[in-house]
Amino acid sequence: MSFGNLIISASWAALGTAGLSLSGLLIWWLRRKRQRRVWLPTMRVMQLEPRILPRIVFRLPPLLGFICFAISALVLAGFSLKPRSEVFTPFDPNQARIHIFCDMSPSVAAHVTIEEYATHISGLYESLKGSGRISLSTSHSAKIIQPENAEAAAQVLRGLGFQRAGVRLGSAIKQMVNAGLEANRLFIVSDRDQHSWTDFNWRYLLDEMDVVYYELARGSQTKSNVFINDTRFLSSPALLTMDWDVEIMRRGSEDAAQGRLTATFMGHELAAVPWKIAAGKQRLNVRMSWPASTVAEIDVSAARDVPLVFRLETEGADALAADNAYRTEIKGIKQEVLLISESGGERLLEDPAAELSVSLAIQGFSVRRYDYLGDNSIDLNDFPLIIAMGGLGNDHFCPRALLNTRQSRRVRRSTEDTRRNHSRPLPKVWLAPARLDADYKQLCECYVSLQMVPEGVAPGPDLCGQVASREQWTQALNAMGAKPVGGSFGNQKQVLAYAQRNQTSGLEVLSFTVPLMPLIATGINHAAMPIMVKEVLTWQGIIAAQGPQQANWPRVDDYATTAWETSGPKDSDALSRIRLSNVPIGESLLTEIDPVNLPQRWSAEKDTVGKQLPAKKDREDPLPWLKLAALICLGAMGLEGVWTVCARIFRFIKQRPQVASVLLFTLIASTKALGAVEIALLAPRGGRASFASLAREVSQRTSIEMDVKPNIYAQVSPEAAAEPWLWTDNLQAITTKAGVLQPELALWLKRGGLLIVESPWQPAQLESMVSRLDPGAGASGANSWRPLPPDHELMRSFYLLDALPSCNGEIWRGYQFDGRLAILAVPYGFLQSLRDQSVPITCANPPDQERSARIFVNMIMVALATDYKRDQIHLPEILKRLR
Amino acid sequence: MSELDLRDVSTLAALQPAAAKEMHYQDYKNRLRLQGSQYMSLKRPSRLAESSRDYVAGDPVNLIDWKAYARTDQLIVREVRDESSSNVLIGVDLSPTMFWPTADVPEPKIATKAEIAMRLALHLAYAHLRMGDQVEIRWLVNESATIPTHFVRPRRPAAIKTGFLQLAASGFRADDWFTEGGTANALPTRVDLAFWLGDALGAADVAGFLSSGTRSFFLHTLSSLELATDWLDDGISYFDQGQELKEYQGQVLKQRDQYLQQLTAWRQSLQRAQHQRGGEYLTVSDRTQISAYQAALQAFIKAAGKA
Repeated sequence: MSFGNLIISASWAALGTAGLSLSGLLIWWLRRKRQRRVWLPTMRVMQLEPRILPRIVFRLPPLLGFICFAISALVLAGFSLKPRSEVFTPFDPNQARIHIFCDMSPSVAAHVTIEEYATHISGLYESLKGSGRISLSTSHSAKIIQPENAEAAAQVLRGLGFQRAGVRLGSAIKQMVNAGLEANRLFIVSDRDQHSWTDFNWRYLLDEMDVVYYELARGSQTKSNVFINDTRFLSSPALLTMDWDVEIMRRGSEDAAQGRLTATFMGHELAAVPWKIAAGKQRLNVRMSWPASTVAEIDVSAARDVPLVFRLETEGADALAADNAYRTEIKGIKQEVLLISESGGERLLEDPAAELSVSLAIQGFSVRRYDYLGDNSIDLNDFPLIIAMGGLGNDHFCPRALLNTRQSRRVRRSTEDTRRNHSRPLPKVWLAPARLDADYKQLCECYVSLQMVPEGVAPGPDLCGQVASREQWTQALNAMGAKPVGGSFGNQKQVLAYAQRNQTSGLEVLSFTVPLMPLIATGINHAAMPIMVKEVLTWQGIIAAQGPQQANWPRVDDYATTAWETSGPKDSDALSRIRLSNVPIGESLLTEIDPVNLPQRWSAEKDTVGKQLPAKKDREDPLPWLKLAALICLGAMGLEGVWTVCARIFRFIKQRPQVASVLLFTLIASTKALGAVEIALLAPRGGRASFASLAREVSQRTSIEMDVKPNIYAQVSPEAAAEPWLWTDNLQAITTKAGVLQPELALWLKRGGLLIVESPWQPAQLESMVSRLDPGAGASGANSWRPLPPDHELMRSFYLLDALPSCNGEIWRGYQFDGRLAILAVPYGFLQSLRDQSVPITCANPPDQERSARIFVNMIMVALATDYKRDQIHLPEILKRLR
Repeated sequence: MSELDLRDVSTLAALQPAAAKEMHYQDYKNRLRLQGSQYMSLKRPSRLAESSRDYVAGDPVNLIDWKAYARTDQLIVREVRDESSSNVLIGVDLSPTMFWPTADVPEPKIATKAEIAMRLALHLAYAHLRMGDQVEIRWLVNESATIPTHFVRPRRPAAIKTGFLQLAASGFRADDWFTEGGTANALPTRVDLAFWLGDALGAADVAGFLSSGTRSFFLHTLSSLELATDWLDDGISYFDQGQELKEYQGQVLKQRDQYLQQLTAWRQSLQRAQHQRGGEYLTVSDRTQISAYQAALQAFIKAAGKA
């Protein structure tokens, strides 16, 4: 069940709304801000001014906010007014037209009986009678009635009953709409049968009306249905038995089923056989057979209107009873052929009609032979074929009475007999010469009287006056417009016969030019005679084509297209034949359509009457307008927020212009924000190295970010002098030729730089190098190269190191200047060992990577903060931590 | 920890009957003896047992009878002046308005006016009993009553102490206030000292009660909440259903301090009336310092004794 199919009951909706409102009131009452009252005894001595309400102070609202509010209010008011006038259109029952269309197709009978159906319609009528004018129609016809009350509506259905023909709801309702159905709401009362709903695009009706589906089949269980799918006539006309193959099908069940199958014709039960469908099978072919003589005993004079009925009787459950009866035309009944031919003598040798009679009998015809037509004792219309063989000197062979019968039929058109005969086709007439030298003039006159002379006018002899031979006879036929049959094209001599149909009477006359008997002169031998007769019979449609005879009782899929009056006038016999048609297989299958594809479903029960659907085009969804208004409000609020922030910033800058100036100057003057430690290499030969892993280690271990790429200087430049530390492994790059430090480097060291000198170096070189820094170092000993003691800041600035790794007997040396470490001499390629492409240390006992990393971290700390732990500025924090 | 412990011990909300006996020596020498609050001008040594009393902490040591101590190992203070007892009438208003603040007042729980009045009454009774005075406590419980008809005449200070302990244990409920005693429809004709403890909001005839005493002291007992407006909420209305319903929002009461102004005017009118009767007036609340109360009381008793 989809939500779109729900129709909310007005009373339940009102009840729910009232409940929600009451619950909202309850919540409000519980959550309301109570006016708290507190007893204060001294109030009794008070004589205060009775002004309880606070004084209202009017202040000018913010301009932009007020404009946004005004725009939002106007938008809301404007957009809210428009849907209001459309959404809540007062419902006028007098203007609403409700049409109920009742599907009376066979599949509906599987779910409800006609009485239950009538009850449903009665209840629906009661539910809707206060909502508008109700009209009703069924799938039986396009006729729309307006029942006076619910019982009248129910009575209509009881009187009609279910139909056997299938119904396509789409075409039925389309016909009704095209015929001028005017309804605001269309209720389709039906089941979910897929056959009925197929090709019904009900959505196109929604522009004109509300389409509501009233479901009759409330149960979702699959029902078992057994039905006759098809019958086939198997016998040939010459057989003595009539054999039928009946195909029984079923749907909705896998269990074994059995029953009885009967064949009835004109009230006579011809045969009855039991049948049983095995479990798991859905199809069964049952062979039925009865003697042809059984049918021969029945008066089959009116057999063309009476069907052969196969009836299925099931022992188990069967959802649909209508498809248990299957109608088909009776087959195998020998039709009588009237043969008018004078006897010529010994049969087979002298009788011209003997061979023809045999040929007709072979084709299953019963030949009634007369020498001549003397009176009107027989009804020529009872014969499908009249063969008149004449030319022997009299015209008693000509079936002119056929015309008289048709004239008398016109007079008796209103009688029942006429109605019965009207449905039968006219007999076909064969005119044939009795022998080769027959009197063709008589044949011509007979032909003219049957074909050329208008009814009620005496035949004139003029047309046949010159006809004396076969050639003249063929020429006369050709001249009268008859079509040649047989022979060669353009060769009149070889034409077997001429056929012509009277446009007025519809009488079809086939005039043979040769006797219908084996003759050497005509080339018709005994073998070819029956074949020729059969071919002519087949060509004229008197007998069906070769093969199994299939039943041709109609199977109407769409009753509206086939039988409704709007689709054209129908013969009453044809209508009755359609009404008694076989149930289409689509209805018998009871296949259900997906409910999603159905219109909104009417779910009103009897106790929830009074539900009202919105009338046509009287509603329009206001949600888009409200969404637009909400968006405008949000936009206004956003603009207000931006405006407020900007206004605050502007006011702040206006009040503190110096802050803005500083910020602006900083932004302009700052070209690079230094936030990372860089390794400064003093390498005259250049070369690039990266310290990605080392930088990652430093970043993870400390809060210091270090650049991956070092800054490399070829000499002590002003940029190099801005670095806090410098690394070098080339003493020549930092000393003069005399072996002393370059003046710029010495000045940089005095300013606080840290120079790290890696191997190779010699102690003597170190001593001479620093002579520029402190010429009196040797005497005082204050500033001199010393091994780094265990309590040196390099040993404890971050990690606590127990010792620095020596290399080949050489240790780390430090030059203390101005109470701090100024130059650090590393006895091996320390920095090279920390590169990403590390160079192995050529020491006897090289330090591992972890130790080198710790030493490097400590060196960073010393370079950046010297011995910060000795700085008493940290004392308060240290004391606080100790406490 | 009890609620009392949370209070400021220096305010009347923590006043006990036997509290704060240490006084200045000169004051002590001049009053508070055995026979009454009114001392005689003739001084007379006495060694009678009834003229002595036990030494209590704070008494001057030179007044101790050391010979008696040598005999009995008890510190006995000898009175050297004769005194006379006074008739003291203490009136307490225990009408419903005195049991305010009630539970619906959105403020931390403070002592009710009735509790303050009970503490003061018991303190006065205890003090005067210790001074040898005849004390009668009267009270009223009905708001419409004009004179306090219930009375009790405690004889011993210990009874006051016991009563105080019971009251403190029960939270100073009216039901525990002197279950014994009697009723009298008329006030005593004449007493030496008359005290009235109440908020003067009921129908009690405070002037008539105080007029029965030669000297009277109106201890106008109010709550500290009634004397301030900072705790008032602007959105809450405050009311009283007296003879007529009066109800104002907090912001109205605070507008232009009109509540405090009218309250001050009312108190001043009561004070003027009391002064016109020759009595003393003091507004006390749960936040009044014990020292201020005692100073006023000593001044009153000293003046009364001299009279």
